[in-house]
Amino acid sequence: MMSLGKLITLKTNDNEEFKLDKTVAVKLEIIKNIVQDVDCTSNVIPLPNIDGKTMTKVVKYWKKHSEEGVTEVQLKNFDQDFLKMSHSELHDVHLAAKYLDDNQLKEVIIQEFLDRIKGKPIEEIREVFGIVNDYTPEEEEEVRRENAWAFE
Amino acid sequence: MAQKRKNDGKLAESSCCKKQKTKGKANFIFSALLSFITNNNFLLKLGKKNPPSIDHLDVDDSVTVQFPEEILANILSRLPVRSLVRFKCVSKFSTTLISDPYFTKKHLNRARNDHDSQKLLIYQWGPKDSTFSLYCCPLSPVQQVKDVQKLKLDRPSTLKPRSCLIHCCYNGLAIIEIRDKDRVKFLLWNPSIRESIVLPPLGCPGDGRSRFGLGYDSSSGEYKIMHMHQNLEGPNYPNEILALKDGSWRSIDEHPRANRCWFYATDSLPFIHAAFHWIQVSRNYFVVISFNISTEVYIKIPLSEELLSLKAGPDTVGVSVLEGMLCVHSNIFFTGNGTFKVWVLKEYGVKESWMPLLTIVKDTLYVYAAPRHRFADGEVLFWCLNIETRGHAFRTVSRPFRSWPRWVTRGNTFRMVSRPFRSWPRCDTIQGGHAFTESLISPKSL
Repeated sequence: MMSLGKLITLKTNDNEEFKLDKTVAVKLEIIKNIVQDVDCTSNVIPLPNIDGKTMTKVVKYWKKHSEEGVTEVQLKNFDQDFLKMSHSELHDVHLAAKYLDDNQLKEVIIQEFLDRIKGKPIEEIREVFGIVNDYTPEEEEEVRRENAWAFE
Repeated sequence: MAQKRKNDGKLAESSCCKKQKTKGKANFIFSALLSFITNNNFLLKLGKKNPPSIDHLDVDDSVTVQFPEEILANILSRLPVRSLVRFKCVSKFSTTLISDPYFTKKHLNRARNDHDSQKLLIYQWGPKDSTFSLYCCPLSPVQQVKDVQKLKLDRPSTLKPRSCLIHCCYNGLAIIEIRDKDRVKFLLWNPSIRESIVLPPLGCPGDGRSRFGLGYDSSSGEYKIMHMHQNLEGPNYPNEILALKDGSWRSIDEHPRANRCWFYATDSLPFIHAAFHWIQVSRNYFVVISFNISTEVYIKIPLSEELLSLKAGPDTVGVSVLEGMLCVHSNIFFTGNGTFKVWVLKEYGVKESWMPLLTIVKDTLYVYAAPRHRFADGEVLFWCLNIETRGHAFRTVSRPFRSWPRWVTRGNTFRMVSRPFRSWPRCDTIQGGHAFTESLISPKSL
């Protein structure tokens, strides 16, 4: 049994457990409130919407951002590396951040999505958001013609 | 899944037990649980496997993620209008998403607080070729030449305008007056998405004395336009209002004291707090009148003692809106010097909250000035009228009026070289316009 008040355990939907220092976890309103109410003997918080792979990333982010004495530059470099993931992984982390009510992480990811589509051709934008093109070639040509000015 | 449910139960139970302890905490738990439940549904809607199999994790990158509309809308609402127009080419779904009134509103609400979405719509007359041009200039702190766009007015091909005038702007929409040989037409135009509609004919002659206000009536959920024909000498025409869904102008009841006063709006009827505003003058004093867009009730806006002491006339006092607050400005002239002052009503309707915003002493070349925009750093943009040339132009406070205009000879023409920002179009004689926030609102859908 872990020592009470120091560590809490987050359990993902694929039964992966993440032991976190309380000071890291309670940064989040949602965890803080659950922690205060969870039965003392179990100390386990279930995260039914998040899988282990995604949670690993989230925890990595939290740990770095709550490190003592970490500099702005270090965090910037960390974020840059952290965000090097596929569109779908990024999407999963966004959903997790949304569920965990972590606004900072959510904003970071939204900004990354914006950077990924900025100035990109339509085909790449479709890829980023996983949008299937449902225009017929004729329809697409017409839409492109109508809005050609916006591409100038 | 069974394991998960068990945990859910435990969580719910334990939070229930502690509910009595603190009410605030209980609320937190409640919202946590609520988001828990909604998020579960959310994922189910996505059709995601839960929990994901090992295979799923391995091939994750090749799996097409389907973005929930809510997240996609959140990301897209931060994009400028032009990018969103391009986004229409992505798919039918994306076109539907960004044309949705909910999204348009969400986008506008964000754009209102975004410096990069603030623009100035300028019309300008070039004496050289006697043509009118329209421009869209950025009002963001970083002014770049490439951001200034020369616009083509989106109008029915049957109209060949000789001149045009921008009456007012609201929520990214502008009311434009265009004249060809013998006709005058009014358009509702969204320059950011390049779409316009022709407004129904007015109930009075199009003699250049029309003033407009544009606003959104949230109680009926529609845009409305108010028209005032200000003719101090000739016949009196009633004020009219156009609900865009109705398609025709309707006269509105006169202000009870209408026959004993004159009304005027120097260039538009500013819309704020669900009401249009203008100045009403009787004998030597003036009042600011508001006309509510939904209830159609007239109200007198209380003025401070200082404002009441101002001498009023059509070219001296006016109303405008800066940063979502009602402003009164005055142009007072003495021999030699004139003073231009702006006051702002910090709290709408509260007499004590009138605050002086700025005072500029200027030379007499400029008979009239009106504020158009306040930048984040407090700088204010004006539109002014030059008495000698009858020319108009934009100014900012930091450039003293005294130094403007400078005339330079270039070829055989004289040019006024001044403009507040280098990137803005050079003003020759007549230039005017209004600040606006870029929006996706389609005039055809209103």
